[in-house]
Amino acid sequence: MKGIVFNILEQMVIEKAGLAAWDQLLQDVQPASQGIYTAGGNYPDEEVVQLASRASEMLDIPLNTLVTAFGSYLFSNLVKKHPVFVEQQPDFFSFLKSVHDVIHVEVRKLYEEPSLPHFRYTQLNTQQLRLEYRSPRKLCMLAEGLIAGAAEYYAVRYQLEHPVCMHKGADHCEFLITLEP
Amino acid sequence: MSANDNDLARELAIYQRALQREKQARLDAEQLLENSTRQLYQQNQTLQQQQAAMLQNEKLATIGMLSAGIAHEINNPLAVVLSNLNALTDYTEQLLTLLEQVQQWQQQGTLNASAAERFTQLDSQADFAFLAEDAPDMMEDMREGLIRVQDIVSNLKTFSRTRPGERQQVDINQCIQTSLRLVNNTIKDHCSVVTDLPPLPEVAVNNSELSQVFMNLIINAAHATEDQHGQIQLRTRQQADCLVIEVEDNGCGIPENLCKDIFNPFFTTKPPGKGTGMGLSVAHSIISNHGGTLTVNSTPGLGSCFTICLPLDMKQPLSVTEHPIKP
Ligand code: HEM
Ligand SMILES: Nc1ncnc2c1ncn2[C@@H]1O[C@H](COP(=O)(O)OP(=O)(O)O)[C@@H](O)[C@H]1O
Ligand SMILES: [Mg+2]
Repeated sequence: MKGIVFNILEQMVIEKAGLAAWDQLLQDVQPASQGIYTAGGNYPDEEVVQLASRASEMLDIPLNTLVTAFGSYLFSNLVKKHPVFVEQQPDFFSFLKSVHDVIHVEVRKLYEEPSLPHFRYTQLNTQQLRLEYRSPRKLCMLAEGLIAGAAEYYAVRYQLEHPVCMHKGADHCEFLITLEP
Repeated sequence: MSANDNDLARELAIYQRALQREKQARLDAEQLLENSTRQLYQQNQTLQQQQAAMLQNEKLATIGMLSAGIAHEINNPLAVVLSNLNALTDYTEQLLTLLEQVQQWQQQGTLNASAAERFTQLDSQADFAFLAEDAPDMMEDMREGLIRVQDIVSNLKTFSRTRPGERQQVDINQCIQTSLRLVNNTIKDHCSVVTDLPPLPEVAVNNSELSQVFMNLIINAAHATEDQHGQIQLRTRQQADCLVIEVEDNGCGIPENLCKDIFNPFFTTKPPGKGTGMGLSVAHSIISNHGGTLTVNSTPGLGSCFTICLPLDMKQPLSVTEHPIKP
């Protein structure tokens, strides 16, 4: 996992719970990196999972809720860093459809050897988009959060169903996104 | 210490640790930057080298096209001159036989007085004895010169061909051995040849063209070692999906500033009559047409090593059109 993700996680924890909480988190988890993260560096995937799990215990927030909240926070910060991606896309669905073929393609140029997921899209009608997510890291909750962040940016309300999930034995996840009027 | 002081000390420690992490993270970031800068520099370097190689290829291709035209123009008159020279040699021989006959009659006193006097007069003007001796030599020199021109022209044609001729499955080692036998007479006086030719898979190449390449490289190596006890090493090996052929000598080497020129047609450092400057350019174009590379590594004073890499899975070259040759 790229250091940028850890940087933004650290920023969120400090913003919501203070520097002492982040310090405590590192003391508890004792990550191999010693909590030293640089945006372009690569760090073990487990560290982010361990930090998130411990944070969920410390803050008494269910892990899924926390990861989703982080996804949304991550989104707004990634967009702050790279505003072109949202500027290029006029609406929510076209943005989502650009993640795999445009955004993550650019991410590959900016960050060395990133671990990125695979997305497939089916636009069912003007109101509905089906999104298939595949990744050995099974970060579907993070994806949900990122989608939430994007919806907030485009000021749309939506329903998300997650009928197929890798955490329930499937080989991929499916999100069914329906726009609300 | 009061409770308040305790809190302060704890908070300070937290900030100190945070600062420490930030510092280290910054150092890591600088290291990353340095690494990518270095990588960028190296990639840039490679790019420049490739660009130079591309320009060189471009130049060779242009010269190739020009020389194909020139070769064609020279070929026809050359053929006429050569065949006339052969006829002229025959005529001269016949005239010389006649001259010899008249000289004999003169010596034997068979000629009448006025004929004998006329012959003596002509002989004093022309010096028939010298003429009879010199004419055949001149004919021979002319033929040699013309054959050399013919050779250059045929080299030009090979050089300018963008498609390799007929290909068959060839054992490169055998091709090297044959080439070596063909040039052995010219080099064996002052050179020893060491071969290291382990068994190789066969490749689809034009046997006679490759043989020409090997002979050119071996003769060049022999020339380069002329002033000392020369040793030429011929090595082959398989490396990944390529055949590597090396021709190494312990000769004079090539000054660094000339390395970029030696593959140009007509570039030679040899005295007139010894080098045509076509050997390496022909070799380069033959190897390129086979989808391979010919490179040189040389240290002045120590020797040179010419390396050929031939892809085992040989594709037809990208440009499959012959250079158009206008009639
Ligand atoms: C709704 C929009 C997006 C979704 C659903 C999404 C999804 C994801 C997911 C799930 C991951 C985790 C890796 C994995 O699952 O294998 C990821 C990684 C990442 N994404 Fe996105 N992404 C979105 C938008 C963006 C944007 C706008 C950027 C901006 C540059 C971005 C940059 C990255 C980066 C840098 C990583 C980390 C790669 C690594 O850790 O090696 N993503 N994305
Ligand atoms: N093995 C070698 N050692 C040193 N110089 C060489 C060697 N091979 C080629 N050269 C240099 O490259 C020049 C061009 O070689 P080539 O194209 O074969 O033409 P030529 O042999 O007729 O001069 C030579 O004149 C010589 O200066
Ligand atoms: Mg030569």
